[in-house]
Amino acid sequence: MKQGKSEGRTITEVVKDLEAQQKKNKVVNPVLQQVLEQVAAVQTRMGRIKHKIAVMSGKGGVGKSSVTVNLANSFTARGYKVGILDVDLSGPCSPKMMGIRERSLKITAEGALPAVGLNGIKVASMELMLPSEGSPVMWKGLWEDSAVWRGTVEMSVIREFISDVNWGPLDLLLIDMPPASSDKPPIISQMIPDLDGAVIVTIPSEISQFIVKKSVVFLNRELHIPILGLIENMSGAVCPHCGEALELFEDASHGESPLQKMGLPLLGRVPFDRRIAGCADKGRSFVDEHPLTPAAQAFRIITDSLQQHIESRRAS
Amino acid sequence: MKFLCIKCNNFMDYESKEQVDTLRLGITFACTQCGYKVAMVTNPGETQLVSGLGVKIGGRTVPAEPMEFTREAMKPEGQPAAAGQPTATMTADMGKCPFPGMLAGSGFKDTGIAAGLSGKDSKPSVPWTSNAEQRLQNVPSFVRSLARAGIEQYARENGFAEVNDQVMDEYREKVGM
Repeated sequence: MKQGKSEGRTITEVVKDLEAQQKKNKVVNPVLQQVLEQVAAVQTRMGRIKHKIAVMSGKGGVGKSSVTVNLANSFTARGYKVGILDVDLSGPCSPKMMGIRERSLKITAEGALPAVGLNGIKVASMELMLPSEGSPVMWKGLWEDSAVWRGTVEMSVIREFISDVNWGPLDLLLIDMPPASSDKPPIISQMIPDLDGAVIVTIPSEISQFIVKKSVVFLNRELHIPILGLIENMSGAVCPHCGEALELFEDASHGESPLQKMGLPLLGRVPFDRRIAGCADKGRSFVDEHPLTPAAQAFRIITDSLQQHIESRRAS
Repeated sequence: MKFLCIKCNNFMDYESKEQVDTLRLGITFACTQCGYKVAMVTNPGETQLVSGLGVKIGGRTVPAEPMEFTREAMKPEGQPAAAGQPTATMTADMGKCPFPGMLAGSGFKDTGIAAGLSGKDSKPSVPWTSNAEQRLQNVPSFVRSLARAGIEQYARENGFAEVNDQVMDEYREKVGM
């Protein structure tokens, strides 16, 4: 048998020589090449947006989407061009809250064009790719029941939402995150390294703060995502009949919460107002329709803080 | 993954790929110096995970369209779950599994790998006895379809007309389940 050139050399030695040669000749693995192109596409697209803020919470049902939409409307009132990226793939509700549930992402050669809702706010969401209102988001594949498989698919879907949606010029992109602290935030932090930071939404219940605390630690310590501050949603309510202030949650003290004890600034407390939900259901802007309510004022105060933060960041 | 031509001390280059069946891809590599070729047949898990990254094996020949991966990955309403049931319909429905999309527009060509497997894997599913079906339900759902495919392949290769308890016992012993 004819001996190969490898005789006397280990595979390790041969591979190292070949890889050095490939590096010198700038030869790239075709799969790796595609991944690098995906990363470049993400960076190019995100580079055109001045500021990006993620709206997060480890806890579900605290009003992340509602806060996102009201912040978006508040920012547009100050002249900002705003987009909402709804990363809650299986529970997308931003389009309905923005009155554009019936619209779709338009696929063009220049990218997927987001739907335009209230106040010219652009929205990209899985909901805009579904055939009807009752359609669930489902992925097809042999491993449909596998969390590993779904996680990989959803990572690629989020990557496409970040790289393929053509927002045009935007001052601010608000990223409406799903209620989980472990899988989606790492995707966002890796794909949007210049994220301005995250606002954390919680409610004044011990359980919520217990859960949210975990996500804050994870975001800040492990992912190094700057936490811009806390928004305490459903923070009391005013009785529509007698006008008395009510606490919605037992032991909801407005003293320093466990989250504030962690050194997180409180951006504001948004009192419960059923008109917030009413406007969301109808796809209308609460802060524009009820500007004198305590809740609308709270959103303006929060917007003030965030605006100050991102403007100072831009200046620096 | 790379292949090394030991004769030439050279990495083999990707040459072509083809869909062996709904579960696997056949990928051919060739040495650019001596022309020697080898073909690998992926297992379903590898193919699924690579497809989940939204990349095309061997590189793209056409640029990706906006939201291409998302549109291909979405499952239409009313389509039954694939897990545990790789049916004949599934074989015919290229849209059911995402990785056929990897082939589309990326230089697919028939290199005969599927034929080289004697067509064994493109045959219709082997019938299952109710007892064997019941035993299959003990396999975790997310690997059930893979287990089903493996068991059916074992049955075909060993001349069984149906998947019965004997096949299940032998296959279990073979793979150490």
